[in-house]
Amino acid sequence: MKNKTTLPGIAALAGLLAVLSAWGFTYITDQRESGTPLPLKWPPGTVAIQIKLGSTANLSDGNSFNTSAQAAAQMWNTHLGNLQITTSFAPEGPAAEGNNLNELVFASDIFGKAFDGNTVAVTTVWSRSNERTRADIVYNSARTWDSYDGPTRSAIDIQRVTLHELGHLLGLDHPDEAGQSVQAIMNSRISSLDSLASDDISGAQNIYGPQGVPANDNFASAAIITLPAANTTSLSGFNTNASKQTGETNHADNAGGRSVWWRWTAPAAGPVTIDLRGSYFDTTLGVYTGTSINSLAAIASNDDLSASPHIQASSVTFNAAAGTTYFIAVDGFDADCAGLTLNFSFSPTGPLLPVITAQPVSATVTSGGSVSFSVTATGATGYQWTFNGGNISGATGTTHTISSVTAANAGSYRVVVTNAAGSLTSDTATLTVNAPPAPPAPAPSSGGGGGGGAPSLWFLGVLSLLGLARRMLRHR
Amino acid sequence: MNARRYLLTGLALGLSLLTRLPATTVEAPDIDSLIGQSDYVVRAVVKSATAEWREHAGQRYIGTRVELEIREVIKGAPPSPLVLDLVGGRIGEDELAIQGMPRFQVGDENVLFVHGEKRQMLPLVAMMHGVYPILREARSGEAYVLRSNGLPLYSAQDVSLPMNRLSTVKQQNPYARPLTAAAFIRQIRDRVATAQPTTREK
Repeated sequence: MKNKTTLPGIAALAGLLAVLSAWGFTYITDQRESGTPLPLKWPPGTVAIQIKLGSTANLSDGNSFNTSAQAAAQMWNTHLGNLQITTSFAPEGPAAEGNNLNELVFASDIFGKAFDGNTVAVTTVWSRSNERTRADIVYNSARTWDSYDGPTRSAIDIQRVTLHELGHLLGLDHPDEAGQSVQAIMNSRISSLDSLASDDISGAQNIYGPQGVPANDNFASAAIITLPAANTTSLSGFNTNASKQTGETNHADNAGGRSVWWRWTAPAAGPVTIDLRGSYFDTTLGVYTGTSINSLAAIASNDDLSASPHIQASSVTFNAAAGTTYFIAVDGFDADCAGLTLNFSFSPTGPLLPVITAQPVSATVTSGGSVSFSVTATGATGYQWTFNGGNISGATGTTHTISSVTAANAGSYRVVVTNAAGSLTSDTATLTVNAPPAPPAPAPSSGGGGGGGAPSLWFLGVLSLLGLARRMLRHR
Repeated sequence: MNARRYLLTGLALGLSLLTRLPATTVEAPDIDSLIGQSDYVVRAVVKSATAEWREHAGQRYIGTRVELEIREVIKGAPPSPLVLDLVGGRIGEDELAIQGMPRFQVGDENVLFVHGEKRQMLPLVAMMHGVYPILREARSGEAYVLRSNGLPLYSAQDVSLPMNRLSTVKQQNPYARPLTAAAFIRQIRDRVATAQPTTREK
């Protein structure tokens, strides 16, 4: 039996990779994020590429290298929602850094470093913060290139390589390198596949969305959530090309700008949890009741599920009342947008969540003073106060007091209230710390110095007395 | 308890591997070609990885210098310390990435197939196909070899398989154990010896 045991650790690893890459497509992510990094993407709009591969139309399919690569860009464009690749041609030549152009060139090296003989083409990508800013695709000039459909030949088909490298430019990685077995142009090896596969398209659309406005862009057209017998469901959607309506509230206190809506009517009372794990952008989430976009009553809202590690997916939990219709808004923090997953769970037979009846209140205190934040909740069995998203050690009561406030205490305070049904997070109370008053300025001395200001009344009085005395002496 | 430890080991390694960026269009060489194209094959641990701004022909770019501590020389006579000079890296908010370039973190242990020529874009043969991370099993301390996608290697011949293709060894025997680092290195040494006659034989 022992001999037949495969390594559980490695098996667990393989399983983990499979779980994290439930879809075939994978992304090049923002490595600066500690929690769940999001794909590094281009801001909405256009990415202009300059193709400098050659304009002679003498390839097997009648194309030139330029037109074959251009066709690859157009293939991507037909599937992208809020980004388009625009193309222009230029004479053959090297890629130049610092010209802010995204270029497609043949070369034997990059920055003076030669291609490995096995490497056909590479994409170099510059990024700043969490956005892509520039990219070049460099094709190994030592290889023989052509343009054709169907099975691979000894010469390399530039169009399928361009499709693949443009996928990298957009932010896609190799699914086969992530342990997935799918048919995709983004797999790390060239195959007879010469066009985009559904997995490639799904991957790109989860970053840039499909074309068109989402059907549930407006409050009035909120998509209806119908729960299966298990009372849990996961829904997919996009908020790319969505908009914010006139009079629409800010969700999770962020202006957002690309909200989409769902609605659900509770068949019975019970706690509901909605989260946006699995979404490909920095989400915000709000739950409301009401009949008009201008007069909604807020039930729950959330920006980030966790501050440390930073999980930018949102999550809310609330007690649903039987027969009440709830409207769920999903927006992007600062109008971020991409593909989203809405996970919905309802527990009609479970205990109700605690209810916060009095939220902690923001405060302003002077450094050195004391401050207390309090919460009142019914049905709660536990409390945990947080400061800027992190748990405060030992702060597990209904009140959290800071006895001698310093500037370092300024920030956001919340309390997580729990019971057997789950947890509920309070509103944010902000602590503002003022510096202590400055000591009084020293009184001006009576003798000399100073000058430059208006004469004081005292000085004018002395002058007047001197003038009066002089006049009296003259009259004598 | 042991299962939990294995799981944690797997999770930790999985998370570390997720920080790699395997990509680009590269043709995977077979094991003999991989060895033949390498000036050095080593088992090494990353001592440091330092990104810096550089300039070439008036173009400013980010490069990374990776210093390796060699634990075992398998082929060639590498310099000590062995330094890999890579195009790409991150400085503050700015990052230059060549898709497909492996990322190195201090403490990573790998079997590396290295080009001695420093004018290469990446001094590893066939980019991600030239790096084989080593995973140490928590319970026994035994070291196993992974492919750059983080999945176990079952045979040295599997290096040329598509990343999503199951090993032929595993196909024939579902209970096959992953290749240990020692066995992988031994297979490389055998092939080096076959391919390159020793001085005495010459």
